[in-house]
Amino acid sequence: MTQASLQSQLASALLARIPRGGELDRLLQSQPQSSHWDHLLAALKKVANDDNVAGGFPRALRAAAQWLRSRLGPARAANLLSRLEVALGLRRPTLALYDHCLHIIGGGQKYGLTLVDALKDDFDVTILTHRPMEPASIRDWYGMDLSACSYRTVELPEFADSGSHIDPARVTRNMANPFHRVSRLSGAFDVFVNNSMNEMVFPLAGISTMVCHFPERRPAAYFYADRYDYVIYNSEYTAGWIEKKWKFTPHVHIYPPVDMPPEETPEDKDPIILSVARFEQGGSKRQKEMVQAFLTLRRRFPEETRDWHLVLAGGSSENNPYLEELRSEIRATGDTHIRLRVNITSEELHTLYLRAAVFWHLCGLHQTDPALVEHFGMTIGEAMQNGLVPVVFDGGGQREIVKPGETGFRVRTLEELIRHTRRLINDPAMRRRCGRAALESSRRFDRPRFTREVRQFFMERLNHYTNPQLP
Amino acid sequence: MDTEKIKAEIEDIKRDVSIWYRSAANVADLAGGSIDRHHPLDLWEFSDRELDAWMGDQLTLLNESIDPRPVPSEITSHRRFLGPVIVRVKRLIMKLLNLYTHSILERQHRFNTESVALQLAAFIRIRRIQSGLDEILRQLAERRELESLREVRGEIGETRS
Repeated sequence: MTQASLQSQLASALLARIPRGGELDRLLQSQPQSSHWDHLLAALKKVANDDNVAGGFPRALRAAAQWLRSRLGPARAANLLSRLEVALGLRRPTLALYDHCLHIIGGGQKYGLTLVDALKDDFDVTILTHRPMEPASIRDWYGMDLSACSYRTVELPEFADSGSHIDPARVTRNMANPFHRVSRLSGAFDVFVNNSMNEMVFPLAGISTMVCHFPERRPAAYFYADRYDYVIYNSEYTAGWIEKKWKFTPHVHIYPPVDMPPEETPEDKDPIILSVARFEQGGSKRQKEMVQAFLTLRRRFPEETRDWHLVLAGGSSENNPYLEELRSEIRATGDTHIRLRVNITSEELHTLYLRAAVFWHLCGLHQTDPALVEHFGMTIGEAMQNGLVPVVFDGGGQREIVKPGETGFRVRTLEELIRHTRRLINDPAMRRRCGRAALESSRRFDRPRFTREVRQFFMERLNHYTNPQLP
Repeated sequence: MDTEKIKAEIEDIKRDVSIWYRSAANVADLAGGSIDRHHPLDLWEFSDRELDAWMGDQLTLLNESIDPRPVPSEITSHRRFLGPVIVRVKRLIMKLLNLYTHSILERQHRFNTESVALQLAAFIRIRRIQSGLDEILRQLAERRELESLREVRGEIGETRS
């Protein structure tokens, strides 16, 4: 049966005076279940456009909604009406971004909000959180104007005592799923984007997408990551772990937006080795090891490293024992060539990127847990955008960013770090060559590319949503 | 196509659909069927950190169900008129049965308590051994780094001389 013939027969079945659910079953039985509502939408559009039977359209619509309700649940029936409204141009499509940690500054949150920024002109956007959020905070933290979006806080009494930290791992199979409040809400939108590391939200929207920054937990109680229409992943490293831990292949690869381009990159940089990483209490970013390596470098090659400095920049919470220990250790060395720059402004960070020549990043060194290895490495991309030569740990997402000997170096030990850094210190021409190649290569991660890829993906989905391409 | 008319007709049906949506008892009903599945675990795949967390969770679950004796307040009935009678009868039966089952369940309770305590002790012991091992591995890595630095220094000294 051709598509045109199927649609005509579906339209006739929907227009029947006495409901003919069995007829719809028969007509759709040879089509995949996921495409049933595509076929119904096409048939309803035909009925709406033909409009030659008095009272035909509401009857057909009601019949389609009732059939979907009985076969696929009330959410699909609601989806069909929403979809029809958008398909007939009666309103703009709606999109909800959900993130259970949006009230905390982070790379994953920046990813989600940049995604919204790329789509806000085409969708009516609602941002769903569990703690109140203001557009002003988003502007201050990420420099984005999302004041045109709606904001909705979904209260979670179960986490009222947990301060800012909402940990889905606390939810076990012995308790009701508190995140189903979000599941229920998701059905009210055309597109639902779950940007959380929270796979306990069941998607009920017409188009559902999960952005996975890393699969932290294994499938257990209330695991619904595989129930989303699409899973977007931020790096091949993350995709590999989704396959290992969640046992399915994610769909779309979009690198995070790296957004630290200088107005002009100076050819002659200062003799500075820069590290930009949060001062984690567990020391996973390995700043102590960097100090150790720099001191060794200086002791071994005092003449060659006479003018070189190590600058460790990054954010930290108050009362951070790791940072205090690091500060004491640096003080004890008496070496004035090592500087700590904690919680600096974005302008200061820009200046450091502009001046520094070499970039160190060792997250993942001496680490056996894959979750604690860098999943992507935003700051490496930022450094490359500013023409720094990255010397980074050979693991995780860092392998996708740095091409050894071309755009920088990858190391597995401190000894390798020292050896490659020394080469760069003694060879300004190599520094310039690698810096230029790094800058060129960093375009793979820049924000215009992110915006382009996000728009392409969502506009294609929206196009199918309004005009289903039937097989 | 009269857009305004179609809009009004969709709005009209949306009201009904919205009632279906709101009256669904749970998310599974909304989705038209069961949504929760059992996910078998392969503990051999777990990292040490994941195993630690899992063991902690399991100990908590065991601890929560340590006492197998039935609690009278857990006997309920949803029947409007017969409910209180049914509950009373069931509680009476339970009291009578307790004469026989109590001694067995009391022994089971003691066994569970000792067993959970033993597992907790084993858990603590493993953690201590693990931190000792981590410290040894850290020292070993440091020593290896130092040795390789000494070797390089020696090579540099030989080259210079």
